[in-house]
Amino acid sequence: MARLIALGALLSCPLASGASAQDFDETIHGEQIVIESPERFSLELRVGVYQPDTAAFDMVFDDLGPMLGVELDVIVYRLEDVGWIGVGGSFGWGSYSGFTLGPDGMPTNEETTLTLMPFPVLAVLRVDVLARLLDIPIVFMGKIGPDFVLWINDGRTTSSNVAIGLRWGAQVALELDWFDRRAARGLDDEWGINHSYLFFELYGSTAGGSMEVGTPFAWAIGLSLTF
Amino acid sequence: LLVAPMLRCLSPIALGGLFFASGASAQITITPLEPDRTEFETNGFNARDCETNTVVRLDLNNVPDRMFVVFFRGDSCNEVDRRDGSTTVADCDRLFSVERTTDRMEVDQRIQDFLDCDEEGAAIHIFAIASDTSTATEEVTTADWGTIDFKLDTTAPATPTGLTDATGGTSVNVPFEPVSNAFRYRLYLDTALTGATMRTEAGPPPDAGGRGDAGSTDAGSDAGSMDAGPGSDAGGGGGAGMCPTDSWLNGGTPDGSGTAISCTANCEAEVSLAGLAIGQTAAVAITAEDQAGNESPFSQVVCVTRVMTTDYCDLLMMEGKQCEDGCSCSSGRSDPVAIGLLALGLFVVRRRRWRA
Repeated sequence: MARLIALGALLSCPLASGASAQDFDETIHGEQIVIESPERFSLELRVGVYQPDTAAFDMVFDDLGPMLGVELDVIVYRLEDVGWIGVGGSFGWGSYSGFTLGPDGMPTNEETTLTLMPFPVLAVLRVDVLARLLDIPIVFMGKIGPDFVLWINDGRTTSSNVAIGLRWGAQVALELDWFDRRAARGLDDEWGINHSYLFFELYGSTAGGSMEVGTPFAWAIGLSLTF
Repeated sequence: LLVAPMLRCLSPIALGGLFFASGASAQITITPLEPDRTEFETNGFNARDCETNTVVRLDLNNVPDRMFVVFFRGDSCNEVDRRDGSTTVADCDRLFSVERTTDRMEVDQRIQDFLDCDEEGAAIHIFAIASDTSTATEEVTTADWGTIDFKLDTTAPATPTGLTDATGGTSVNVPFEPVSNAFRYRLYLDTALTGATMRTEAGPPPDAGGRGDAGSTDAGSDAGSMDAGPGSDAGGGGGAGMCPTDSWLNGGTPDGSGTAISCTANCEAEVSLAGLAIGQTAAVAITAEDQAGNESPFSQVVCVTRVMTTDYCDLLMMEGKQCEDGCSCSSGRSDPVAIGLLALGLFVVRRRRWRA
């Protein structure tokens, strides 16, 4: 997690340095106009805590993960001055280790691991009206879609399967452009990155069936870019 | 001060290549063939080598057409005044001579032909000089000699500590504290115990008094593993779950046959219990090995016991929840590539089913 935070800080460094003056591409009829590159995708790198909501998990695994993930959304419809609607896919990975229990109910020296790899397909709504119209660098995001979680239980025996359920997420993001618009413009000019964000997301999943791996609440933080 | 060490660092092989490239005759190159030191310090010998006076087989190449190859030990033995005693610093000792056969020949000697077992520490310079006499007291050219360094290290590393008794279902992890100067560790398992199960495919070693198979070497893994092995009852029954004290590991001498474990921190030895019956116990000890192959005494002997265990899937099913295996995966650690392919495959299959 610390690495990802450091990565975020590194990427946001250029945004936090230098002057904060707005850059303008052209002046038409005395009005200054900013020309941005096309915005088609959103990429998220995330790290957080995810634990299946079962009593058995707490008995065997004393492990918070972490759950690492990457998500790519495609912008399919833009809502004028409000935000956009998109579809996306995510891939996560989390591994939990613990020890099997002996006849007395106490942990043995036999290690057991549970690996979870969620890959939900999501419908995404991003609301950035505050940032666009009111210059308040806060963006909200909602996500919902089917969740597919590959689980691998490596304990007394090895078993694996896919659990299926519904995944939801609610995200609040801090738009980093606000701290240094000149640097943000530079990122757009050089790399086509329109906006960058640090975000916090609450999410949950009902994934179950072959194994209950869902949880009502989990969280993640990360860095996202639109390009 | 700088040039002398640099010149010394030039290996005979490099020098040989230099002369070869310039059209001059190549220098004799000496390559050790036995004992095989590929796992250890190059040209290093350990206490066991010296005690057994092990065979040292050298491969000599580019040997010029002379009658003998004479071996010396000391500094700058290619200089005649170092060999014949005509100088006050005549510090080259003649060791032995062999008849020259071809330009490439092998020389078999014993380690104590080259050094004494109490000469620990600094490198010992061995020179092979091609000569028409068995004493090699004449001047020689660069093409007439070659050299190799031997090193003797007889000090064993400290004994690993921190082992504790362990229980598990199919395998157990036995943690231990790493020691300084350890190149790797060796895991020894004794199933030939009262109440334990002995492997059928491996009889007791000749001098160990009923010892189990030590397993195979696996230097590349972070945690060595050893299978307690399937087998028939060899002990007299009883002792279930109790730590036996009649193991050959108690007071025995390590012989380098234990399973190799590479570890630097948070060390654990994984022991498979698949061959033990529920309630049966085997003894485990660990040694440390340095880069010359010196092995420490056995650690404290601890016991691993196979018990009935409950894993996450078992607990889920006790709660009335499902843990349904979707494939016939074999037991053991999963390969990351296989996991990825499995994820992709299951995703496609499940998505189709879900859509249907």
